[in-house]
Order: sequence, then structure tokens, then C-alpha cells
Amino acid sequence: MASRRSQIQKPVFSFNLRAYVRIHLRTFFASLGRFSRAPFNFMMTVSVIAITLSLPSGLLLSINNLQSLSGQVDLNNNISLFLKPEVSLNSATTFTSELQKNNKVIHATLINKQNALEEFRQYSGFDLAIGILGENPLPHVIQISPRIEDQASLEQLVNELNQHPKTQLVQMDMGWLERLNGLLHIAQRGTTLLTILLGFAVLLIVSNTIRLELQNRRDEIDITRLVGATPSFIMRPFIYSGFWYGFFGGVFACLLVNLSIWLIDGPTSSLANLYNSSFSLQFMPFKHAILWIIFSISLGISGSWIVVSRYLSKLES
Amino acid sequence: MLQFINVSKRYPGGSEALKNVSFELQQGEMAFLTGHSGAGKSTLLKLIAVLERSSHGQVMLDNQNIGRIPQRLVPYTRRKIGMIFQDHRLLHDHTVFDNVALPLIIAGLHQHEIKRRVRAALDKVGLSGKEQRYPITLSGGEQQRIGIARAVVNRPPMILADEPTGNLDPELSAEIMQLFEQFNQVGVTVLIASHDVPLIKRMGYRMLELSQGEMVHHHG
Repeated sequence: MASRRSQIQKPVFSFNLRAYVRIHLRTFFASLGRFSRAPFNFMMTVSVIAITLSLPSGLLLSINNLQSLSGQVDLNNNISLFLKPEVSLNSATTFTSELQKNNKVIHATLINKQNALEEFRQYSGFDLAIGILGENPLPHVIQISPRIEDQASLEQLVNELNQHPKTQLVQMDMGWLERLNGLLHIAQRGTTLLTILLGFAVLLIVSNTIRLELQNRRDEIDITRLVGATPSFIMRPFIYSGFWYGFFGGVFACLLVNLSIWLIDGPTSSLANLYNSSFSLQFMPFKHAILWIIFSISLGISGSWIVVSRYLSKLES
Repeated sequence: MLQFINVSKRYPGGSEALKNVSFELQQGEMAFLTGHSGAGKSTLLKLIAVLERSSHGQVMLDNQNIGRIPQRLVPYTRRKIGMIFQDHRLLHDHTVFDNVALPLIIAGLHQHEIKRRVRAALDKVGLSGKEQRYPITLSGGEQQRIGIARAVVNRPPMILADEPTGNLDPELSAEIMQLFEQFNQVGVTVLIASHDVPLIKRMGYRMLELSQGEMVHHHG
């Protein structure tokens, strides 16, 4: 008998991998099982996490969508130079090649007023009205894509063009695009800040939930300690709880965002159709979804780790 | 097996729960620890389970000074001791089976082995067939037996019991004590704290008596 008893002491310091994996698997599924016994509480916490995370992820996706919209707008050819009506085709051509040599210009293209009229006739349906006019009312136009290095050199170019005797009007349709891109940059920065803030919120939500769970299971923790549980054995179920909160919170956040996209995609497409655009909203890319879920899981795990390790270190001291 | 050498325990605030206590328990011995409430019985048991540490002196378990072992090794020391409490300390939202299986789950045993050992332990304490019941549906005496089954399921070399018969009538108390005797007969070292002196005297084992933190008698 004595020999059988002494063998109990042997496994004390030897690391048993199979036992370790077995304990892990058991607690992994046990923590899921515990949720299935209180699904309402679980779903409440998961929903709070999902809604919290869907805000920054949804915003980020909207910004990406807007950026892809602004990307579709031709960023080149964004200065239209309308020449005075009396300028002939010849001098317009010379002017264009002069501009082409200007180092502030990448390229300049002349739109012949005859061609422009033909095009206008085709697309506008004012065929008859134009015929009545008799004379071509359109000027020659030079489309210029400037070499944009900074705002100052661009302004200088616009000034030069304005002062040229052949110039009627310089129109720059890049201003709004720049402003939009500027706004998008601000929004992106703001979303990053929001993500950090709401990430903290998720951390706190998980911490608080785990703290309550700890209090409810205080007796169980005391008893397991008494029968020889290591701190990591006691921590494990709570860490797994944090994992599941994060996992389901992340998954539901992605579903929520994609559901919203799906709901507003129809109206957006029909609006885009009115503008002759085939633009349609993009769903969250799979890679992004995975990243959000990983982010959420790491928040869940660290939230619960912080609380449980604090609790246990207080017990041990 | 267990040795106290000039052990004192002083709590913050100055109260001295144990004063210079020395005694020794041989492997396979069975002994009772008696004394009035507040005499230091619980403190002494807590020192053995490393729930607390001595202020002075050495507590030796298996030739190891457990008063000085690092915190990370404490759980492994506790696994060498089966502990039984007056208030049973059972998990009431778990079945009898799960309660008894707890030490084995902590040790990471295979499900098959756990089943086998839990059945054997429950059989030994006379609770076979009640694996799937919840502790609350059983009587006080039966709940104490669950506690005992949990304490012995891991086959520890030593059993500590703190007032195991405190809430039980004399007949049940005697049955519980008989259980401890049975474990002792197969080689387990047993130390039982109890103030039921008449019962202890009848049983005729060694008595360690504490009074105001001091060991006053070693009845042998």
C-alpha cells in the first residue's frame, strides 16, 4: 500500500502533455456548455460587444466605399481651359502644344469645338435646336492634367492660364475631390481613435462580465484551490469565456455591418444609376472580417485575463 | 509524515493563534486534534494545507518544509492531502459525480480512469448509485460522505478532517469515524480535528490537545 501511495507524488513536477491537452479541451467545451445554460446573459454581452465593434468597423467600411467612389472619378484632366470663341483651331493647337511643354503640366489635350458639338448633338437630343443656331456656340477646350506638387504651384499655373489672352475661363473641378479626400482622411483618423476608444469599451465590458462571473463562482474557486488546483487551472475557464465573448462578438459585429451594407446597397445602386455610374457598395472583405474577429478575441482574452489574474494574485497573497 | 517543530502563528494585529507547537505524526498513523473553539485547531490544519504560513518554526510534510515552499508549488502539496470540512464545501450546482471527480479533473486524468476511480470512492463511502444526484437532495451525513469521497479519490497519503462530525448525530458520527478508520487501515495518515471528546476517547487513538494555542497533551 505504501508503495502505491508514494507513486502519487511522482507526477507532481513532471509535465504531462496529454493531461494538459485534455484539461484544455475539457475547459474549452465546458465554458461553451456553461453559456448554453444561460444563453440570455451570454447573448446580451455578445450583443453589446457586437454593436460596439460594428460602429468602428462599419465606419471604416463606409470610408473605404467612399474612397473607391472618389477613385472612380478621373483624377487626371482636372483643369478645363475654355478658350475665347474667336480663337481659331490653329492657334488653339499651337497653344496646346505650348502648354504641353510647360513643366507644370503632365499633358494637355485639345477638344475641337466641332467634335464637341457633334458629341453634344448625339447625346443631348438638342439636335434641332442646334441646327437653328446655325453657328457653333461651343469654344475650343483644352483639358489639362497638372503636375500637382503642392497647392502653390497649382495656383500659379491657374493664374498663368487665367492671364493668357486666349483664355475665356479656367475651370478646376478638382477642388471638391480634394476636399472630399481631406474629409475622408479626417474621418479615417477619427475612426482610428474611435476604434481605440471602443476597443477599450469592449475590454471593460468583458472585464466586468468576467468579474461578475468570478463573484458568482467564488465558492467554486475556493474549493478547487483547496483540492490542489493551480492558478492557471482556475484561470482557464474564464480565459475561454473571454475568448468566446470576443469570438461571437466579432462574428456578430461583421454580420451586423454586412447586413447594413446589404440593406442600403439597393438604394445606393439606384442612386448611382441616376448618375450613370455602376457604383455599388462593397461588403466587408473576408480578410478584414478575420482581422476584426481576431481583434475582438484578443480584447476578450485580455479583458478576462486582467480581471482573473488580479483576483487570483489577491487570493494568493 | 508530518512534523511540527516549534511552530508559532501570529496574525496581524498581535493575536497569537499557535505558540511553539511541536509534534510528529508517523506515516500510517491516526490521531485526533482536540481543544475548545479558538484553541488553534483550524489554524493548525490551515498550516498543513498551506492556506496560511507559520510565523516561526517549521512544518514538515514528507521531509519538506511546506511553510517555505514557493507559492507555485503549493497546489501540488495540497494534492498530497485530502481535506474534509465541517460544512462539506461541495459544489451545489454540480452532481455528486462531478464533485468527487474534481481532484481527478485537476490532475488531468482520462475520462475513463476518472469514472472508475469516482465509482470506487463512492462505493467505499456507501454512496454508489447516487452519482447523478445533486448534493442538496442528500442528507447531511451523505453530503459529508461526498466530501470524504472527494478527499480520498486521488488516493492522497494523508487525510485532514476539520470537525467532520460537527453537524451529525452520534450514530452518524460513529459511522463517519469508522470510515476514517478504514482508510487508516489501508495506510493513510489521518488527522481529525474534533471537540467530541467522549467519542474520541472511546476510539482509543492518540489525542493532541490544544489550549490557547499551546499543545498541552500528547495522549498516546
